[in-house]
Amino acid sequence: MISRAQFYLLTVNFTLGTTLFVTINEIIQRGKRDAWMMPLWAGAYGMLAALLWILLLRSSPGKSPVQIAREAWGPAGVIVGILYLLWFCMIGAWALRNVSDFMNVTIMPRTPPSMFHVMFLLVASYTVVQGTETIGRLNGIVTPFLVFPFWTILMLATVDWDWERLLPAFQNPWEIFRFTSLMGFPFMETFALTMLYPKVRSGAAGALLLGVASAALSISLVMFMVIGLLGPERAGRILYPIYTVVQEVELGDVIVNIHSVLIVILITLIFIKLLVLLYAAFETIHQLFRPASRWPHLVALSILLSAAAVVIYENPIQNRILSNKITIAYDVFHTILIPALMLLSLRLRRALQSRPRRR
Amino acid sequence: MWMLYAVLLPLIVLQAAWLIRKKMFRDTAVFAAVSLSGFGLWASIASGRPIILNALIGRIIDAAMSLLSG
Repeated sequence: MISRAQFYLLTVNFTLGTTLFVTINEIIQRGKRDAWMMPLWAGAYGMLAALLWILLLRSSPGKSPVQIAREAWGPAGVIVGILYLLWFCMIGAWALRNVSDFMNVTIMPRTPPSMFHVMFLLVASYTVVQGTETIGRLNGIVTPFLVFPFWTILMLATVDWDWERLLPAFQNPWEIFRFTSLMGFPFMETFALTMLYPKVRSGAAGALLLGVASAALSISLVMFMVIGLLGPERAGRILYPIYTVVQEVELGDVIVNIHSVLIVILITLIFIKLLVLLYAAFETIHQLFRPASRWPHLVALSILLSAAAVVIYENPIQNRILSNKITIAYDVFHTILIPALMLLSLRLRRALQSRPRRR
Repeated sequence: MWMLYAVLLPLIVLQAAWLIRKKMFRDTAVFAAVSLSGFGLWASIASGRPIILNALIGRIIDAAMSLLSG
C-alpha cells in the first residue's frame, strides 16, 4: 500500500514525464504567445476524465479497471484487459523512444538507442518486482531532487526575461480545440495510474485530481517561462526549448554545464513514467492470468517493449504528424469509451439484480 | 539477424523450458505469448522491414472511422 502523498507525487511526475521536452515546441508553435494557456485547458479536461475513472473505481472498491472489466463483462473482460495491456506497452514504448531520441540528439549521439531502452527496462523491472511500496517510496525520495534543481535552474535563466515576448496576450486562448492531442498526451495517459489506485491507503481520488491539476499548472508555468525567455518564434523552432534555455545559463566561470543537471532530471522523470507503465502492464498480466512467477513476465515485457520502442515511430517528424491524428482517438477509446461502457454495464447489472423478482 | 537468434532465442527458449520444468504451464503460455510478440517485432527490425506501430494504429483507427461512418 502507498500513501496519498506518494500517489499524488506519482501522478505529478508521471504527467510531467516526457511532456516537458516532447511537446513544448509544438504547443508554442500552435498557441504562440498564449501557448501557456493550453496545458491549463487540457488539464481541466484531464480532471474531468479523472472524475469518470474515480466514479468507475468507486463502483467496485479495491478493484483495478482490468478487474472491473472482468466483473462487468465476464470472459469478454479479458479482451478489454489485453487491450489495456497493449495500450500500456505502447505508451511505455513511446516514452522509451522519446528518451533515446533526446539522448542521441543532445549528449550521447553514438550510443545505440536500444542500449538506453534495455538499461531503463532492466532497472524498471527490478523496481516493479519489489512492489508498489518501493515505487511510491522511490518516487517520493527523488522528487525533491527533481523539483528544486529544476526550478532553480529555470530561475537562473530569467536574466534574459522579456515581458514583450508574451504580449499581446489572450489573442488565441482557444487554440486547444485545434490541438486536441494535448488532451490525450499526457493527461489521458494518467489512466495508467488507476492500476495503482486500489493500492492507495485512502484519499486516492483527491490525490489523482490534485496531481493532474498540479502537473497542468507546472507545464503551463514552464511554457510561460520558455516563451518569456526565448519568444514564441524561436521556441517553436527549437526541438528541445527547455534544454536550450538552460544551456545558456552560466554561474560565473566555474559552473557552465548546468544543462547536464536538467538532463538527469528529465531522464528521472521519464524513468518514473516508464516505471508506472511497466507496473501497470505487469499488474494487468497478473490480474488477467494469475501467473505464479514474476521475473519471466518482466523479461517478456522487456523483450516486447525494447522492440516496440524501436518501431513505435519512424522518426520524430513522422511521429508528430501522425500523433496529432491518432492520439486523441486512441486515448479516448481506452480512457473514456471503455470506462464509460464499463460503468454503464455495472450500473445496469446492479439495477437489474436489485429489482424484486415476480413469482 | 544471427545476433537476434543468438541473443533472444536462447533467452526465450531457456526461460520457457525452466517454466515447463517447474510445471508452471499457464506462466509458460503467458511468457511465450508476450516474448514471442517481442521476438516478432525484433525479427521485423532485423529483416529490414519493421512494422511501424503508430502507422499501424493510424490504419486501424482509419478503418474503424470508415466503418462507423458507413
